[in-house]
Amino acid sequence: MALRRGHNQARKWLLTGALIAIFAVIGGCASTSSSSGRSYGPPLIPEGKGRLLIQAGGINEVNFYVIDEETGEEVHAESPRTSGSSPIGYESGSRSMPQFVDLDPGKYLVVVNTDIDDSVEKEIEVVMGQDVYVSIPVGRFQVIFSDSQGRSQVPFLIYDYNLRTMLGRGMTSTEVRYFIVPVGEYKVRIENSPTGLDEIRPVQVSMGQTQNILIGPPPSPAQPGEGGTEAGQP
Amino acid sequence: MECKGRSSWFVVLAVLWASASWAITSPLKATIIDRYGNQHQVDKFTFQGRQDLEIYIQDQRKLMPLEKVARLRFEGERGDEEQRIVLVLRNGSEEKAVMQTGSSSSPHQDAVGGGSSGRRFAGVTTLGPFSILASDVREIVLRHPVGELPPADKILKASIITTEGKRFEVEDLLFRGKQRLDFFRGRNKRFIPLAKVERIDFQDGAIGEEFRPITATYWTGKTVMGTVEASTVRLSGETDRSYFERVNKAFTGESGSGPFGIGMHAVRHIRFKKDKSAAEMETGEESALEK
Repeated sequence: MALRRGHNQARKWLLTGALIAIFAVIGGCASTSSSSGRSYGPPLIPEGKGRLLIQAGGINEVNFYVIDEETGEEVHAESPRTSGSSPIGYESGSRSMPQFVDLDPGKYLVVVNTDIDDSVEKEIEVVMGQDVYVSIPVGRFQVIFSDSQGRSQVPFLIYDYNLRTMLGRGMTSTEVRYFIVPVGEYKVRIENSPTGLDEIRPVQVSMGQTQNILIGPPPSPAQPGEGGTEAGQP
Repeated sequence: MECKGRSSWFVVLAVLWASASWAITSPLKATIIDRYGNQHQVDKFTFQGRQDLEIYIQDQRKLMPLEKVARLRFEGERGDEEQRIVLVLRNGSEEKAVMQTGSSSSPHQDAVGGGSSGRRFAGVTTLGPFSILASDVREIVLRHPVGELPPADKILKASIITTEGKRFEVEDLLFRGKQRLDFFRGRNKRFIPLAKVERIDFQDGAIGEEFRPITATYWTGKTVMGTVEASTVRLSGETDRSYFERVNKAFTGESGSGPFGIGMHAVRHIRFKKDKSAAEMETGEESALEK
């Protein structure tokens, strides 16, 4: 009787052990952190540093650099986006985290370059072991130019609202491509002398909003079985 | 009991998190007086979410940082698309300008992104979030921290030597309305603060190229190299006026004979003159350090 009880107890222990091992294996596979210590989400702030996070209204990729206010030296720079007038630019959409950089404690100037002459600047103070969120008042718009052949690439100009000053230039794309500008009101002009096209469109850019400007005949509705349709004008 | 312990941990963690992170918002405070004479005390004051104003002084576009402004008065009517404004700056000077305020009565129906004017002043009052259309404002008095000095404004003096060998003595030199020169380092845009620079030398680009290499030497001896846009090609869609200003008025200022403007393609050298007061301050600092 005692022997049988001992057997049962051993069986119970074995079963429990096996279950723990199975859960450990499954848990290990499903875990977000790897053996190297990397995990989804931002890593820990390194010792002796503070963290600067860029908040650009849902835009997760901006070209920016950081200047140390004491020395005047550039201490960090990121330029993931191509120039607005480059014919090869398009949105990759690969980044899911806001941009951040770990810096020594101190005062810095953060400069965010946009697709026009105006950049956005913020003075910040980084404190050891703490996050500093910098809100960058920028928005984005897309110019979709289509002709009889479909979407095509044409150059355009970005003006201030009064059409007094040209602020920048861009190139439309057959892919999805946004132009990042400081929040405000602008005018976009596309002139194509051979075809007689001259379009001037006002655009109001707000933080965290995306505007689409459609120029040319509207895209034909998708046939059954075709891919997604283009976004229309809001 | 256990639950109470857990909740207290959550409170402690929340307090720690709140103290460990914050968002940089506008530190500006202002008193806004609307067209009916009502006063609103506003914190975290911004215009369209920005801390600068887009104004036109003598028809030239300028971004005026709000931290330089002490008082702002609108002299137009509510229905005006753009209004004359008077800016009293913190250094005591007064500027008359034109500002696009957008009319509340005639929203831009064709504007992509909204049928109403987005030109609003915003902030926070004791009652909660606050925003007001720029066309409804009569006056704004900005409340800056007591004892905080306004950002120093230098009047830059320089000698400009053209590619033809002509020399001009220019005061209040600006690059496209700013005291900084935008340039490219590779494909990255950077700026050089003109107040910190002793000289800028422009080299010739190849014929037909839109960029010219430059070398800027700071007063500290540091040198910066890059390229500047110096295209004289007219762009498709460019108006006569914007083309003329882009090509012929990259640098502006005042010369002895009147207003001065020159294009980027025509400059060979710029030699800045050291501000006497700045030089005196530097020598004062040096002597203090020696002591």
